[in-house]
Amino acid sequence: MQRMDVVEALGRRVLTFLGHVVGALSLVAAATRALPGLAQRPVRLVLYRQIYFTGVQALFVVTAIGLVLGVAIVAQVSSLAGRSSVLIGRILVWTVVRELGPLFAAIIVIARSGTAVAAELGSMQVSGEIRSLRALGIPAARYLVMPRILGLSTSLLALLFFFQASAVFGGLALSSFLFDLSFRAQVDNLGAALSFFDLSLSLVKGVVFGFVIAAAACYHGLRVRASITEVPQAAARAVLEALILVVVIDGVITVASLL
Amino acid sequence: MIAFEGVTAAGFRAATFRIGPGVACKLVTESDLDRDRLLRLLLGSAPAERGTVALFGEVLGEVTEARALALFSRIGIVWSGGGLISNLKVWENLLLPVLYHRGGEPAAYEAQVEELLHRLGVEDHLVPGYLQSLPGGLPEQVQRLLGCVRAALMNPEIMIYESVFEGLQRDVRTHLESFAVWFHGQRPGRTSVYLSADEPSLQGLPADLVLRQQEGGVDA
Repeated sequence: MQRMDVVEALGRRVLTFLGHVVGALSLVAAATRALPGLAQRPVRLVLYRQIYFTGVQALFVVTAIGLVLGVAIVAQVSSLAGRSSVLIGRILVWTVVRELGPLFAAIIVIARSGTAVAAELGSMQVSGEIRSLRALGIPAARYLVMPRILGLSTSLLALLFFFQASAVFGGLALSSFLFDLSFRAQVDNLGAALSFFDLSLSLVKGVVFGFVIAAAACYHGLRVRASITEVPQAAARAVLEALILVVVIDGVITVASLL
Repeated sequence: MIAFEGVTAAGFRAATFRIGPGVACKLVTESDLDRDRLLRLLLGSAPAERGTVALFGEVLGEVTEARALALFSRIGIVWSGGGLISNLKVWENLLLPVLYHRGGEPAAYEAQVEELLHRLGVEDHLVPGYLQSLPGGLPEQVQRLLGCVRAALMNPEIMIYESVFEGLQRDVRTHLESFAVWFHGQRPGRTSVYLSADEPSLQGLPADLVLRQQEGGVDA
């Protein structure tokens, strides 16, 4: 009996989660239809602000984390496998470009902007601002959702690039400094190890993660109804579901790329 | 312009009334809750169980969301809380609907904003500070005045004032009342609806029609 209860509760949670995924996807579809709204100045302003908050303001933290991660990876690799610039280049590509870059950039964006977007939209619901926008003839999908999804996704792509570049630079700089390996030679080895496929894989992950994070944040923010206490709950749900989706999608893309 | 036909919904039973073009109408509800319900019906966010709500001759339940939004853009609503967007500066708030629907450069509206604020009794030296503020830091009565400017810039065919004459300082109220009367006459056929659950707060406003909610119905 108890086992049935656990299965039932689990099943209910999975169904709820899937319902949220469908809701977030329909929001992405509505945002896609609203793309012509970019011709309107107020909508573009929301997009620029989102890029500023998600991309520009996170640049320092993303670069710093990337630098430290690159140094840590190279230190571990060289302690385990010796001072081979070819190996260091390959491992940097495998870990930073293919896997950790997109994942870390996504986690940073979830923590900084996913919560902020969900909380902001939730507060706007509670204070009646979204009702007020509708009364002005301004649809939420066009003015609030589309620029946030677009802004967050493009920012994630830019952050991903900075994260990877700083991680690679940090790793190569450390090995040059400590192991007396030529920086130039390492860059050449890295270039040889880096394929168009690796870059495409990283790009695809960045784009998909950006859409997933933004859609989850907007969906949960707009689901807030009457009470201010729902706002932090919405932000927490947005973070959790975005994290789950990002990790699952990362796994799926990685496995698919190996087939 | 606004027509309720046999509307039954929370707080309303077979409510039927019409507010035609050019009419200044006081619409008095039994409570603030019923006022909110009426506005929800009017904005299509709470559909009626029975009956129809029509705006400009179009039944809200029968039009697409895009069409409904187009109809709403012809209405100006001044909310009791101002209805301003908290993460936009006042200047951006005031221009949001007009730039969204009509486009153009913000500078083109500067003189009009200043004139409207002047008519509402906002002292000139306060204007630059207000325009660069976020609305959350301003007193509620100032937010209402700014909400008036935002609605007025759209030159709406219907102007709805939602409990905006309640709880104001006397001079602010006088300015707001004279603004409402002046604005009503600025466009031929403009309808003004003074919506409130507090009838005495509407005393200073002339009206062609007074509608009162009584036991779920709305009668003259």
